[in-house]
Amino acid sequence: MSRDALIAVIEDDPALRRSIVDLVESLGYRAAGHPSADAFLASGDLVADCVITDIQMPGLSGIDLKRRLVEMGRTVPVIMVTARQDPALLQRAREAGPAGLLQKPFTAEALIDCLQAALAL
Amino acid sequence: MSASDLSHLSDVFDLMDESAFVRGMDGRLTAWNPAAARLYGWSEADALERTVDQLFGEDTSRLDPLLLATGRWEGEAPRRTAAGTELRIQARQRLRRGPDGAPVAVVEIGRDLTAGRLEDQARRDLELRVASYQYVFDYMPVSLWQFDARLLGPFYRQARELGVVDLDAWLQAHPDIFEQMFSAIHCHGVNPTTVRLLGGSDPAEFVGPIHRFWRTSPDTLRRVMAASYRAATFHTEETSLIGVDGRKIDVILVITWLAGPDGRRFSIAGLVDITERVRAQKAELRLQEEFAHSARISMLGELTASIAHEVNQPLTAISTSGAASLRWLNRETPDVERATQQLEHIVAEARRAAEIIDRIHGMAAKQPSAKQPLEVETLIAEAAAFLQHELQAHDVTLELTTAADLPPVDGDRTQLQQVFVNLALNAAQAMSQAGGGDRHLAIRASLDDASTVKVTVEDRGPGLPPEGADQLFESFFTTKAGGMGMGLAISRSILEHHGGRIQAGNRPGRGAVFTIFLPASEGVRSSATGVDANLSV
Repeated sequence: MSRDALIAVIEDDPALRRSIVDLVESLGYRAAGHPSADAFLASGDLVADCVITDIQMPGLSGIDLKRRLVEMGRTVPVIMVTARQDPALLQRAREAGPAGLLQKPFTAEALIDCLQAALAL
Repeated sequence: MSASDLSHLSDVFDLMDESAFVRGMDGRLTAWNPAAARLYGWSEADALERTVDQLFGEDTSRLDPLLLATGRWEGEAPRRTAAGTELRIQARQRLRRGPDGAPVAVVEIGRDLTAGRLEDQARRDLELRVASYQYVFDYMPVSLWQFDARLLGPFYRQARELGVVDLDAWLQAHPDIFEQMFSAIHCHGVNPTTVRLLGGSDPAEFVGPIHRFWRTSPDTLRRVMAASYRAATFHTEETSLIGVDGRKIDVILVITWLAGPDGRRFSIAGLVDITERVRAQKAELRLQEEFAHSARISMLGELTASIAHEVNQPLTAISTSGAASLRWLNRETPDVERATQQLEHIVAEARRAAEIIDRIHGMAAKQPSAKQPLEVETLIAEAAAFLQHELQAHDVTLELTTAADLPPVDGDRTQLQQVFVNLALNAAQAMSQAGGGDRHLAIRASLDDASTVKVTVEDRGPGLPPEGADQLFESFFTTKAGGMGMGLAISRSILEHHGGRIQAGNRPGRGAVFTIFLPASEGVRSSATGVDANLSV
């Protein structure tokens, strides 16, 4: 995957969104931050090469977003991120078929590994 | 039998209350006494002209076989008066025989059962009713009292003359009159339930002034008097009275006023024992308080878990931005500007995290607290009781030692117990995680100096890591798998809030020891401060 790949970052916490966007950019990719899944769907960033999304957000959840993308016939890899430890929630996330599932607080290395693996697919 | 004897018998015949007559075998009457005349309404003259058939409508040929066989008969005979009224007669008959042995006459003495029967029935009914009322009185599980309040009449009249409408209010304004009235109420009798309820031994104990049983509930008596004054027929309330043994008994009082057969009002009071119910209510309330207290102690753990999400956000941002800024700097051409932006972002997020932590400390230690003098021994014992199951689950034995004459400490019971619970729980978990059989937890309270109480919590776990000693009380420092590292930080906040402090170290040999210093409730508090200040940070 070329270095000018577009990564969509969907996170309702602005500070964390900014950090992730910056980390992605520091890796040489293009990054587009969105405060919600709905905002992402309404944007022109549907062409993104990978989606990094929080699970618990106002509006559509990260799991719902993945399902919506599948319905739309989009196979874009989705990396899910959550601060929750609820086993039932984690199970539902896994069932949605994410490219990666990270629990906060995660290390930058874990996110980078996950992102690069997703883009290599 | 002489003639004079016979004339005596004739007198007896005339004077006896029972009806008596003699009849021949043809049914014709040959003798008829005045009682028979009164009973049947036939004069002697009229009767002697007639047969029993004519008098009573009876078939004379029908003599009882038993009479014919034995000469005696006794039983109920149907008879009829001259006016035609049917009578039931308890009759005794004798058969007289002639010299040849043939029956010649029948003598009958009769007693009228008709009226007697009704009387008997009425008496039996009454007896039955009285017996059943007695039964109700004796065995009903309600304490029943018969009051005699006749002496209150003059007081009521006096009040009426003065135009008093609200007797309750008037008696409150005139306690001396109320006392006189109170003393004037007597008890006529009580049932066995009352004797049992009040712990007495005999109903007779209760006859007389009721003041001694009701002295603690003058308000009730005043209301009862007011109800009687306004000619109420019923009054009920929850109240209490004093038993023979001085015990307070909670009851529901029901008193009813009735007009007696002579038109005079009298009252009956019933008491239902609700001591158990009241006791149960109180116990439930205590239980609720205990439960709430336990919930507050557990809050420490809840709090620790609930902040995970909130604190994770800035933590993740910090670690992500840190990694990003390193990347900007490690590029072939370092992008210092982007790196700087991220470092500034890190500082801002760290501040945000600190604010969250401050808020949590505030929640834990600055809840509205009610400081009061607390016995350290009780404080620790209650915390230990709270932990009992947890300690058992971890197979930990607990040793509590409290020095004699330990002064109390001023504090919030719940908050200080949170500290002990937290420390003991940490110790139990550390020993459990390390495995090994020697799981002993010792909590010892002693006097550090005249104004400071010292409590040590010692375990036989792996002890504290030497490199962690400085951070131990910092938020998020933890050696436990899955631990949040908030417990000790909050504990320290609580203790500082109480003017105390905490220090940590290792036991010689094995295990960790936490030492808490709390100022004593009274006395000088300056002498001990500062000694271990370097360790408490």
